[in-house]
Amino acid sequence: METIASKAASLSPIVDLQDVCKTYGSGRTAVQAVDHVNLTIQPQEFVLLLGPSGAGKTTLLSLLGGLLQPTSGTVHVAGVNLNRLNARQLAHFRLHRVGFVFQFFQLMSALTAHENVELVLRLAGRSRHAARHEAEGLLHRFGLSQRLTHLPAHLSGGEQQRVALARALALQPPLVIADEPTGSLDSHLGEEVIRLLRQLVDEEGRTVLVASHDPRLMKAATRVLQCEDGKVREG
Amino acid sequence: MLILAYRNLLVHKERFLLATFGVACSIVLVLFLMGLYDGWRENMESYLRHVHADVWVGQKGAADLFQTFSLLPAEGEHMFYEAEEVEKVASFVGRLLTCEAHGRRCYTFVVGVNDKDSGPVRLLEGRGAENPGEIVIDQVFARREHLALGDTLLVAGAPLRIVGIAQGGNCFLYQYAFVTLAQARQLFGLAGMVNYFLVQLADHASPEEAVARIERTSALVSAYTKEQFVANNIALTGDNFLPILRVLEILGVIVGSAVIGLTVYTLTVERGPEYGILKAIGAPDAALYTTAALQALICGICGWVLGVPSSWGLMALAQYAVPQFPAVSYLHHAAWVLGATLLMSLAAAIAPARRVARIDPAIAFKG
Repeated sequence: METIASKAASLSPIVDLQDVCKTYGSGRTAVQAVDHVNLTIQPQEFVLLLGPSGAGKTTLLSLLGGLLQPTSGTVHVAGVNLNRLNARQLAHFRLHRVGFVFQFFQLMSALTAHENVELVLRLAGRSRHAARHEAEGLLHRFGLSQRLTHLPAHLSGGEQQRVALARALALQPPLVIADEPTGSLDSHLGEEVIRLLRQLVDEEGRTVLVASHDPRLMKAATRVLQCEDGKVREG
Repeated sequence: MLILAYRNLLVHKERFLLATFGVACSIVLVLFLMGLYDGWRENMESYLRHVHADVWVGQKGAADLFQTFSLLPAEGEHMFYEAEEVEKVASFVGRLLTCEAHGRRCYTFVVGVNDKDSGPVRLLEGRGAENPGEIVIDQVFARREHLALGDTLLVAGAPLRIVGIAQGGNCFLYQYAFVTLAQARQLFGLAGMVNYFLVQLADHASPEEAVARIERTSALVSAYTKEQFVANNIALTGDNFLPILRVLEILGVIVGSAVIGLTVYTLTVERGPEYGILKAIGAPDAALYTTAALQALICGICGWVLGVPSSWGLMALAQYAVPQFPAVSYLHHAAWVLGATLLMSLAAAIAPARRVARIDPAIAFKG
C-alpha cells in the first residue's frame, strides 16, 4: 500500500498552475505580469525559466514561492493550494516546502555563516543545540567547514551562495526556487553552483526551478521554459 | 531571534552607544525626580513624625506650620488636662526667620518647644538648646552656611551660640533650628502665646475621639491627629510642587521611549530588505516583531544598567555640592524604573513592528 501511495504521490505534480494571472496596479496603469499561465512541474525536474527582463519570471517565482497571491487562477505547490492560505500559513509553507536561492545571496549580514543556516532551523522549532549541529553538518557538506564563523562580508561570492544553498536546504524542502543563482558569480563559481543544484535533483530527488539568463544552465536543466510578456511556453 | 536582534544593534556600535546613553539619561532623570519626590516627602515628614504629639491643636482654621497661621493663649494648656485621656501637653512655637551667618543673610525655621522629646530628630554633635542664647541647627544648614559648634548665628537680630548640630530637619527650602521655648517667644514677640499645643494621650486613648472632643470643647481651635497634621503639611508640597516632578518624570519616560523608538525604527528601515528576506524564507510576522521588540528591550535594559548606577553617583554628587538637596535613592525606585523601561521599550517597538509588517517579502528577489 505504501509503495502505491508513494508512487501516486510522486506522480502528482509538485507545481500546478491553472490559468494564473497576476496584475499590478489597476485601470490604465495596470500591468499584467503573468498572463493566463498553465504550468505543471513534476517532482525531480530541473526546470530552467528563461526570458528577458520584465518578462514576468520573478513574479512567477514569487507566486510559486507563496510570496505573492495571484489575481486569478489557482496555484498548487507540493500539494498545497496557496490561494487558500493566510499570511501565517504562507510563511509556514515557505519555511517548510520551499528553499529560496537569490541572485544576491540575501544572507543576514550581521550573522555568521552557521548562524544564517541555524536561523531557519530555529524558526522551524529546532533546539539551539540541534540547530547548530545540523547547520554545521550542512555547511560541512558544502565545503564551508573552515568558514562557519565568518560573516557574509568576509566570504567570497561563491561561498556566500553555498551558505545560501545550505540555508535553502536546511529544512529539506521538496522544491528549490532559484533566481539568477549564478548572476553574481564568476564563471568558475557559477559552474560550481550549477553542479550543486544539479546534485539536488540527481542525488536528493528535489525539484529545482531556476530563473536565469545563464546559458550554461540549459545543459543542466531537464526542461526549459520560455517566459515572455507574462506568458510561459516550453522552450 | 535574540542573536539577530543583538547583532543588528551592534552593526553600528556608535549608534547603539548613543541610544544607550540617551536612554540612560532619561533613566537618570526619572530616578532623580523619583528620588527628589520621595526625599522631599521624607524630609517634610521626618521632624513632624518625630514630634511627641498624638494631637496638634491650633487656632481655628490653622492646619499646618507653613501656610496658615495659628496663635493661641498659653494658659489654654490647662483646659486639655480636664480630659482624663490627656497625659501631657506641650507648647510649640515655630516660624521661619531671617538670620545672618558670616555676614550672609539666610533663613531657618526656628522652633521652641517645652518638651525635650519634641526637639531635634537626632543630635549629631553637641547638646540640645537648654538656655537662652543657644541654638541647635540642622547639619544641612551648618554645611550650607559653613557653621560649626560654638559659632554665633544672628537670628532676628539676636546672637545665638550654636550648641548642637542635628539631623532630620531638612525641608529643602529651609531647615529646622531649635531654641528654648522662652527664647523662641522672645524672638517672635509672642509673650504668653503659642502657635500649637502638642497633646500626648494615654496609651488606650483614640486620637480621633480626642480630636472630636477638643473641637467640641472649644469653637476657637482646630485639632488634628498626628497623621492628619503630617498630611496637611505634605499636601502643601504634594499639591503644588510634587505634581511638577511627576510631569517631568513622564517627560523622561517619553524621551526615553522616543530614543529607543528612533533607534529601532532607524535600524528597521535600514534593515528593511533583510526583514523582507526573513519573511521570504518563512519567518512568521511574530518572529519579526519579536526581533524589533528584542532590539528595543536590549536598548532599554542597557540604558537601565548604565542609568541606575549613574543616577546614584550623580545624586551623591549633587548632595555633596548642594547639601539641602533632599533626593534619596532606593532599590525599589530602580525596580520601578526597570518595569517602566521594559514597558517603554515595548511601546517604542510598536512603530518598527508596524514598519516590519508592511515590508513586502518579494523584496528578496530584488538586488
